[in-house]
Amino acid sequence: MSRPKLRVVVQRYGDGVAGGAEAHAREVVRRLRPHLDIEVLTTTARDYWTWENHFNAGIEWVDDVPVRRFPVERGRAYDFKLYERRAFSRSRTLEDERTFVEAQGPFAPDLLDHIWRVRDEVDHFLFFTYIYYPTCYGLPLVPGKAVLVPTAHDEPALGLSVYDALFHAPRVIAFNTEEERAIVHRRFHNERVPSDIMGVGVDVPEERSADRFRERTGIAEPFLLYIGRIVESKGCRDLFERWAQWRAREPERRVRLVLIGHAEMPIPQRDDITHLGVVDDATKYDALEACVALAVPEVLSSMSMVTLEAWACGRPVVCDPRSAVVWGMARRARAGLPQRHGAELGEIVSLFMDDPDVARRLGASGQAFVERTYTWPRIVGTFLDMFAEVRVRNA
Amino acid sequence: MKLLAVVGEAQDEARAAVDELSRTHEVTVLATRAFDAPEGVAVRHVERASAALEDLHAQARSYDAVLFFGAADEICASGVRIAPERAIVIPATGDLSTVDTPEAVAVFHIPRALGFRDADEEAAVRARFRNGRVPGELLRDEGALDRLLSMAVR
Repeated sequence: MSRPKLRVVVQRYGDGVAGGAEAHAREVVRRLRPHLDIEVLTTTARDYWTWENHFNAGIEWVDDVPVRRFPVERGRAYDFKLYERRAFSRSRTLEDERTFVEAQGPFAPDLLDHIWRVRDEVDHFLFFTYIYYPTCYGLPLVPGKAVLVPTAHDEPALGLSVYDALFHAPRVIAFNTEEERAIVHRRFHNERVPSDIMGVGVDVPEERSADRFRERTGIAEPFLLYIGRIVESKGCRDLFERWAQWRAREPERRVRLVLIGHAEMPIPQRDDITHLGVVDDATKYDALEACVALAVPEVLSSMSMVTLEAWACGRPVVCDPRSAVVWGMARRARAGLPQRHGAELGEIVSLFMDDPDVARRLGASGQAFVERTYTWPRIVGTFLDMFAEVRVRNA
Repeated sequence: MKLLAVVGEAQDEARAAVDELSRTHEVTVLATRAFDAPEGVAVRHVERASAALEDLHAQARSYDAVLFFGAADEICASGVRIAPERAIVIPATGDLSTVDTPEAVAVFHIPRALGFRDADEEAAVRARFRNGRVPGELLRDEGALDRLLSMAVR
């Protein structure tokens, strides 16, 4: 018997494609591959800012799955920021919003034509990321067969009317977190569209070593860890300022801030901050094993993969309470504490250092949370149930 | 309730519904063609569908519900997408192939509720679009429009 046909629509896909949603899509495809006849529908772009045509149009195999790429007719407009400004203004028109979506790119009308052409022969479509052209205009072509993974967070684009239909059209919505679902329901009042919390599975290696990390890096003192792109949009400026505020008040404490990731903004040159750059996965997990806690200063996100990884390693997080998602998850998991300024950051890190049992308890609670929710067998099973439901509704 | 009636190709259905609803609700009509409205009903007439859509974009959220009379024409097919959370569609479309287009196919999946002229029309729409999730009402008695409204208003 032939397997049900799934077409996965995502703005970029393949080797060298960095990005949370894209990595998420690829991992989901790899996990679903044994169960379904899958083809990925995407563009020839690799870079999310320019959408420049990098890959060849046509079919390429990635992880033993066919990936059908369509050319980007127009990348991100050079004056995109102007269109963005208009679309986000209070006096915006519908035309401003539509222009924003097209100027943002990747503008790939052939991809939409293909979705429309194959709609009757495909059992279900899985769309990743609400904000870009392929999902915004592709999903409403096949509403009865569509499952949406929106990766939405509280950002100005979510307020645009041009996205309203998208959140009312799909057969099912697969959210990353309860917090993302709450944000979307509050904005779109689309509770009648069935939904579930999916997220991604978290696999951390059993073999992790704090000693190995200390030997390799020479970092001997207790440390707060940050993992990710070092950039303002991830909250790094706040983190650096709060770190400096605390340390000015308590310079004698032996503690360090360790940063892992590519720096896209200046890092303060201080004796108590170490930037390790991009490291391999083994070193990352060793660092999580060795740290006091993970700092997650990001305010806007639909999910924080690194938060889940820290919890899977039994470490608590220190987050920003303005983040509806990370703070919401940390509260539900009982696995993190919020910091609003330097004094609170210092208070929390000091508490974890002076009373390691507190950090251990919170970390263990996070570990249990991840095991309950973010495991691949549960996620694959839930996706397959969703798709079966879609098929029944269309039978 | 404060209602907006967007008049597309289903003009006869629109006239009958506006006539009935305006007795108990505050109704405004948005239309690109001439519309003979009962006394007390405001009519916003715009020349082109694009202007009607901009009007909807600016105003839809100030109404309790927006009723679309038609499905295949641009004012309805694109209009429903702007205000799905308060949209009621009364398609009155005899030929469903006119709606099974890239521009219009979502019309049967995204509104709050659908109003049908008769059971045959509903059966045809359900069979073609598999949209059982969207509640529907047959418009065959005086209370049917109010029942439709109760489905759409949060």
